[in-house]
Amino acid sequence: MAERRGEPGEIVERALESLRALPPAGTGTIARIVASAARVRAVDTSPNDDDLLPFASPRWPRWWALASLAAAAVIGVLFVGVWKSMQPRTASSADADAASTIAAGGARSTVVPIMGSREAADAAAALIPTQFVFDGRARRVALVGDFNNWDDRATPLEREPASTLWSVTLPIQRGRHIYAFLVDSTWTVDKRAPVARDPDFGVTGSVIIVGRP
Amino acid sequence: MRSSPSVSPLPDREPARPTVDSTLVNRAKLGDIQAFEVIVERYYSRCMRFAQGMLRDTTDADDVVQETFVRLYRALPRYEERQRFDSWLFRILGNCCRTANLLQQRHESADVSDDSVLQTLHSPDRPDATFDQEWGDDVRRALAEVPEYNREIFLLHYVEGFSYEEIERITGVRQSALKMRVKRASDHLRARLTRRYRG
Repeated sequence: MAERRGEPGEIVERALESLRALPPAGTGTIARIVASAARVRAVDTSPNDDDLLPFASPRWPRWWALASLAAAAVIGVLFVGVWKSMQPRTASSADADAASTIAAGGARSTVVPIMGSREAADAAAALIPTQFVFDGRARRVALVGDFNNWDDRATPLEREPASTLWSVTLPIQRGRHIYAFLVDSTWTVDKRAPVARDPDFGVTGSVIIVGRP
Repeated sequence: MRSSPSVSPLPDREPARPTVDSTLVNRAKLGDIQAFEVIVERYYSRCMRFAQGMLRDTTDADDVVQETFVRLYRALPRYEERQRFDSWLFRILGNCCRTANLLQQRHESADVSDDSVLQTLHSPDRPDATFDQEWGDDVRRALAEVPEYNREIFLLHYVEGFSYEEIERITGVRQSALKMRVKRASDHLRARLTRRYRG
């Protein structure tokens, strides 16, 4: 037989005759297979997608499936990160951040402005919860500033149990403010904040910019 | 009664293939073990034939076929009738064969070459070997030398009678590549067997 392009040719066709011979099923082979399948299906009804997923075919090897999953995970993490950065922060989470900042910095006394929500920040008159912290031995510490009309009884600080840390959180309008601590009735500036002369009292006070990112 | 060995006098491009009706498959999907047994009886010999051609160690063919039918039975509830049943079965079988070959390859020690695998076939020099047996062994020996990815397509097309379109659905390989693989396998067989019997 003349061999044409794309045809198997005579000798290959003879080989195919041999290859097409069907092997017989051995005695009990079918019964063994059926019993094995029934037993497996009885104890395991979980999906077996290995045979059905496109990844199981040579065109989609398993490494490609794993790479796809890894890429999807990275994209998911990036998406969640961007989404979170666009969400307003709550006061509680900001408090936690502030506390961690103090602990990490070991500040003796500091002021930690807490960012409010985006909506509140957009409104000029919005109040932003702001935490003031003083570290030192005292019987009484109070916060005075232009935001509480320098009232020494309006904003007392509370001492953390078994420590020398005093703190208070109060809502303050955005902008620049002058303040000081009254430690046992003694005017004390915040050592961690810049200072400026207060035009009202003519004394030096600490400066805080509330609402600055 | 089981199927007995048979050789077509003239090879068909697409040999007649056993089929199962949807009722039988649906009964098996619902857990009818007798319906599943009919399916196994109908396809066992074809699966064994394919596995023996595919596997590096043909003595594993029985286990691989059994594993294939077990997987088939577990996956039956998710079988969709829009695909041919035997295409689906041979897709599972092909995966099982490739897995078995990989395992076999890992288990072989470094100093054992593929030639040793071929020794599992009968030697043509055996005094009691008949001509047909000798010819069959030479064919299988030549087939075993064909790369697995070409051999699988060759067997599916020329031995199991699947069209290129069906093989594309089974393997995910494009038809143009399939035809090239079949041609390379045919060329290899022709060269090997011609050299032996006409050279």
